[in-house]
Amino acid sequence: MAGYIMRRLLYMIPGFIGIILITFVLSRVLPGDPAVMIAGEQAPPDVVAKIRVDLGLDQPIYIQFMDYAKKLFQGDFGIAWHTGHTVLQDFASRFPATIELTLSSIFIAILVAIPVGIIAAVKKESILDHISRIFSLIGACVPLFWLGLMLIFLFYSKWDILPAPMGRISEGINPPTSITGLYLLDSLLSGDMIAFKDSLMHLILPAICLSTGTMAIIARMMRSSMLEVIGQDYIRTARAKGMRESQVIMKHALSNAFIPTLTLLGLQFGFLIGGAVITETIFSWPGVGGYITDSILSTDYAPIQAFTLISAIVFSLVNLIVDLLYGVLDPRIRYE
Amino acid sequence: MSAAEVSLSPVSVKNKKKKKTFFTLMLRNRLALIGLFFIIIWTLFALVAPFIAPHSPTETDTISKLQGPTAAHWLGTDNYGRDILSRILYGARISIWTGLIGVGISFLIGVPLGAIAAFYGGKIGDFIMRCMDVLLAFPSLILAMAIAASLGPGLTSAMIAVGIVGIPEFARLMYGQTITLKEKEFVEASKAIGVKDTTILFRHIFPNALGPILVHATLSMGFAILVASSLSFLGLGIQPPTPEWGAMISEGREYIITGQWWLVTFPGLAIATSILGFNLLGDGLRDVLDPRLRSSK
Repeated sequence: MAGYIMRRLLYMIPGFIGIILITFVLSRVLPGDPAVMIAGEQAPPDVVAKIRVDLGLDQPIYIQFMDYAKKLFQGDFGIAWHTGHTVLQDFASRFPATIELTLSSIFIAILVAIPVGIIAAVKKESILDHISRIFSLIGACVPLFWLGLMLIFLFYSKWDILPAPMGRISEGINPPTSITGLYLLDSLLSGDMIAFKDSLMHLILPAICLSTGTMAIIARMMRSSMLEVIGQDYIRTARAKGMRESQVIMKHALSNAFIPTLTLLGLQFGFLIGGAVITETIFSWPGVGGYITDSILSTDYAPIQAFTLISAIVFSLVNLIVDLLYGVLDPRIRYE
Repeated sequence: MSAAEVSLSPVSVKNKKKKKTFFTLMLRNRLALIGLFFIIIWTLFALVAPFIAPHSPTETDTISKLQGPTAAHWLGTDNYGRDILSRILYGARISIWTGLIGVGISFLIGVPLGAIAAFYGGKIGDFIMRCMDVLLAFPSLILAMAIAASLGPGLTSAMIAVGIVGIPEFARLMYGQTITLKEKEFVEASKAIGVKDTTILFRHIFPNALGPILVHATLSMGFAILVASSLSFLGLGIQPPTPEWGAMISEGREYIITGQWWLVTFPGLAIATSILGFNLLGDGLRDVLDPRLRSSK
């Protein structure tokens, strides 16, 4: 197993080099001169020239690439000039908010989609099955940014049952003592129930918004893989032995039907990273996604470049973890 | 008759019965028909927008700004008093055009790359497919954002971004198809009689691989519209005052809190129904073209 993981990580190295190369190329096709962007349009030519030298833009392109890669390995992603901090500092301060949002939406998606998919398959062609199929169909077509705004309109503007979409906690309430950076968890750990309730109310809408697309796709996949599995001979055998239907489904069918769903869940992680950028923007969520939108609007390329690079690497690692989980779900799968 | 003109591909054999079955099955697939209906409606709106739009999409009218749906403005007006219905109708042109060009770029680059990688194999094939794997390692929207941010906001940037993001999937699909097809007897026979590689690829392999690629292209249209409108929403795509659905939602965003729902609701419905149309048609085509799926449904 350890050997397999090492081999997979080694195979990933050329891929990572490719990812670094692409982000480097993207940074070099910028329409404007980065030195002019930093110095300002009115800056004298000698100031622009000095910045060009400082940034290494006067060097040949391959040296610029080597320099870029070297800095990346040192954890230097550059400076976000719209905040005045290093990109790494900005990421570190905003990362827990994004983690909290993403984990909550994955949790909601799994909690709803898996039972819905199972029930839809077991009770095929029932009203519940039709409802779940319509939901899956619509959920996959609705743009995230529109859904978020409609949720704000209904739950905040119209019915006023959830707080304004402004951050993670209301202004008058103190955030919980930071332990993990996740407000829900920290408030529970420190026993601050006021902060817990308020941060939960703030989290509900963005988490539902981000989870909807994933929920729809997982429910659809769970239904189709469950339908395939419950038609297999070993399920018929289990039923013939007199096993209870709930046991047949939960014990025999689910673990096998879950493998394709797990693959999809790994692939959905990419969607969640992209979705977080939009969701955080709509709900003024102080995470990395909202920070990236601010960077886009300020034409500050260093954070976008760093985010693109980190997303691709994390996405590749998540899919490796998914591959490893296959063996946990199905003991027949061995890693050699 | 020269060797190159000899057609040994099964595609060239006209099979009326097969065609009839395809249309019969498509007509029986209600969801695919609903999808086709939405696509036809939006395409028609896009084509005849200048003739049916009640107002100019960019004409401002500060007196009637932020009006809800009325007889004069069926879908209301925005913060500049512009007619939302007219902007949605004109917006259909941009969304469908962006989708078509984006998918066209993915198709025109991805399909030949996949075919060459599979047909010639070896180091060239490995190199092409590893490059595709690297592109696939990026989450789609993030890559599209990075490309659009690099190129600068605008319609062309959005189209290029959407196009590049779709290349690896077309390449992988074509690679898989070509790998299977190149072992078939009709390809071997073509090689044996000296037909050129390019002729084999374009006249024999490509038409036989077209089914799954057509399905993917249809499904990609919906995705392309979604990505392009997301880019516009984030300020990276089409810029105001050009009427584009994602940009319209972005402009109407701040008014949702004060209860002016129509600025966001109608453009959103336009995006959702157009994506739904392409997804339903794509699913329907897949069901009809793949008999295994047809039987398991």
